[in-house]
This record gives sequence, C-alpha cells and structure tokens, in this order.
Amino acid sequence: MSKKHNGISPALAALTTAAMALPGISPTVKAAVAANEPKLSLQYTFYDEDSIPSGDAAPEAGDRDRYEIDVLQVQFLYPLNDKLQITTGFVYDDMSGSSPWFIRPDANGDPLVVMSGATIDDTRYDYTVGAQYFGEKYTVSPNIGYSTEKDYTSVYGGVQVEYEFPNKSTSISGGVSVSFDEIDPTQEAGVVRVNNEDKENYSLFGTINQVINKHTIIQSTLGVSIFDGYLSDPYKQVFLPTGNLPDSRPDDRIQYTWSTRLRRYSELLSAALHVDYRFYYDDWNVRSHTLDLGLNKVTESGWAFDSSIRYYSQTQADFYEPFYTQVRADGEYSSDYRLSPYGSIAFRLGLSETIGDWTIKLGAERYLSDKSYSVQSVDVENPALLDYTQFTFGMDYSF
Amino acid sequence: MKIYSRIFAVLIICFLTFSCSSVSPWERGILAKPEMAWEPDPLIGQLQEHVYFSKEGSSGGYGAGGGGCGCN
Repeated sequence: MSKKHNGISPALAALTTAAMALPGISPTVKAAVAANEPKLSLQYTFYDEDSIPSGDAAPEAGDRDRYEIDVLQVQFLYPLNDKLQITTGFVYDDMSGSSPWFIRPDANGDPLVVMSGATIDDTRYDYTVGAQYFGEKYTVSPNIGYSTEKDYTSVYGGVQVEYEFPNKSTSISGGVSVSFDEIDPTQEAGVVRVNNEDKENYSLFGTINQVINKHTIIQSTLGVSIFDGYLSDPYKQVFLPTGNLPDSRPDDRIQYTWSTRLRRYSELLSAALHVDYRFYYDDWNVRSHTLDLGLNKVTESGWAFDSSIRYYSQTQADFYEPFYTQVRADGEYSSDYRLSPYGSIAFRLGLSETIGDWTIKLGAERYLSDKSYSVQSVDVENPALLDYTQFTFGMDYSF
Repeated sequence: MKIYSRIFAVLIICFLTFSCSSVSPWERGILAKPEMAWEPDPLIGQLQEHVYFSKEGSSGGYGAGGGGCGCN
C-alpha cells in the first residue's frame, strides 16, 4: 500500500487520481506516483434492480423482474521503475432480467410499462491497458480499452497530461479521449429493429487543482463530449395511437459538464468531508445537478469507513414523452426513463481493513428514484424509473 | 437557463477568489492522507460511474468507467 512520493505535491497527486476517471482516460490507473510494488485488486459486485410494481405494469407486461448483474473487476498494477508503471484492467458483467420495452396509456390515460417479453441474458467483457509516466513536472497517462458483449463492441482510448506549477499548490490537467462503438442488435420475429449501427464519441476536459490550506483542497473541471451516430435504443419502442414506432433519437449530441470537488479534513472528527457537485447540460435540453456529500475516516489500526449520500435531478429531453398522442414532425421519439424528468437519492456505505499486504473491502448502495425528488415539478412520472441495491466485496494484495 | 447561469457565475467567482494560504511542504501531511483522495477506492468509483453512466440521462464531469455499452 505504500507509495513513493518523488517530491510530487498532494495537489498533483490528487489531480491525477481524479482526472484519470474521465472516459477513455484509464479508469484503472489511479496512482499519482509510481507504486513501490505490484498490486492486484479483485472486486465482486451483486447489482439488483427492483421489479416494476404491479400497479405500474400493463397486464401484458411480461416479466416484471429487471436486471440482476454479477460484476467481477480485476486490476493489476505493475511499476517498471520509479518513473513508469503499467496498469491492466478486466471487467466481467453477467446480466439477466427484463427491460422496459415501451409505455402505453391505460383507460384513464395514466402510463403503464410493457416489459421486454423474454428474459435477456448477456455478458460483457471489458479490457484496458494503461501507462503512467511521472516526469519532474509533468505526468503523462495514455490508455486503450476494448469492451464486447453479444450485440455491442466498443474500442476506446485517451491521453491526459498534468502540469504542476512551481508553487506546488496549483496544478492543471487536460485530456482527450475517443471511443468507437458498434451495435448489432439481436433480432426478434415480428419486431422491426436496425441491423448494424455505429457511433463515435470525442471528449475533452480541463482541470485546475488548488491547495486552499493545510486542511482543504479543491478541484474544478470543465468538459465537453460529442456523440455522433446511432444514439437510439434498438430494444425500445414508443406508443402511438396509430401503432408503435422504434425509439428514434437525434444522431448527434453535445454534452457539457462543470464539476467541482472539495476535500476538507476535520481534526474534530479525524475524518475527511467530501463535497462533489456537477452541473450537466446537453443539446437535447437535458440539464442535471448532482451533489454528493461524504465522510471518510481511516483509523491508525487500518480500518477505513466511508458513508455518502448522492442527490441527482434531471430535466427531460426535448423529444421525450411517456407515450405519444400524435406524430412528431421531426420524427424523434423516446419514452426511455433515462430521458424523463426525475430525481434520485443514493445512500452508500463502505468498510475496509488493511492487514499487512492485504486489504479487505465491503460496500453497499441503495438507489431510489422518483418524480418527487426532482428539483422541478414533474407532471407525469415515467413508471419505469429505477431503484436498485448493490453489494460489493473486494480485496487488494500488494506483492 | 438564467438561474443556472447565475449559479454557475457565482460559484466560479467564489472559486477564483478563494483565499488560498501558502502551505509549506511539511504542512501537507493531512492533504496526503488516503481519506483526502478524490476517489478513495478507484475500483468502486469506476463501478459507480459506470452504473450512473448506464442508468441516468447525463454522464461525465468526473468520469465514466471505460468504453460504451449496450446497457438498457
């Protein structure tokens, strides 16, 4: 668990860790300085979505049970020398369950969900390789990755550069990433679906990281992400009185984000307060606010405890409706709950203990979404809004 | 959008005018504590960002793990 510091300031160390989480910038390389020793991390997560309530499902809805996913994550970090380290990552998802297909009105005009007819089974494999070079003032971090599942492949990569100012209290970072995705939907008799489509994503970000005082550090990031290609969901439809139509969204989307993070250590609590805020806006007119508040404590005996609450609220996309009553001139339709107006609250707890070269970790999260959690008033709630629970068990071993 | 623009402007100004005190290297022990990290557990952070990326209408800002997926 020990790390060499090589004279790199906490500002750059913290910046590196945060910026590595951006898309295409290796999420698996998190250390700010080359590690002393190789480290293997394993983590298993059980993710379980709540079933659609019977009152929200149409009689012909099919199986109301939504996804259960087993997730296995493996990461291996290997320092080649004190300037360069390599990280490889692997993620395996095994998913099973039903997914919302479309929403139709009942006799009173209230929305009801119709689920996908059969249980969907799929597996996803995600491989990443990244490197980090630690210079005197600069850190350079390239990475590439490949993700594949039955009907979807994604190739992605990125690079970021960090620079630390001579005052060692300020650092800046910038990065770019790209991904090329292809979808080849599973076909079903009697259902019209696209055959083979692709999309591209280009992202850019800039970050400033500032030490405020010996207890406080702050970071702010501006990002833009451009999507181009097939952005619809081939497994969803929309209801129209004249007959269902495929989910059909614009073929480009530009997303803007501004996020700020604060870490403040409390001597009174012997713990760190975490405050994260993100504002998001895109040209489909979805706007969202995300606020994450957490408390992290590490004891001298090796125990670590963290708890957090996350609040999220979004507006709807321009073309979204739970169901449609007339044809749209632009031909854009989606009843996907992810494009609907709603809010969510998530509660998280984590506990870990480090004994010698081993660290054992446990975690849990409960996620609830509802129209009443939204910042703005919502007239009609999408009945497919998601609630889920997940449990995590992990271990790290330093060689 | 006006209200969001104002919130954005106020927060930017607050950030830029934050009174920063000079912190000597020997005073930075607290800042280097593991609980002060932006992402104390990278694997859990990677998983959470991927779930939010897959299940919400907005993404990015402080990261989504890996490439795209056919998540629905």
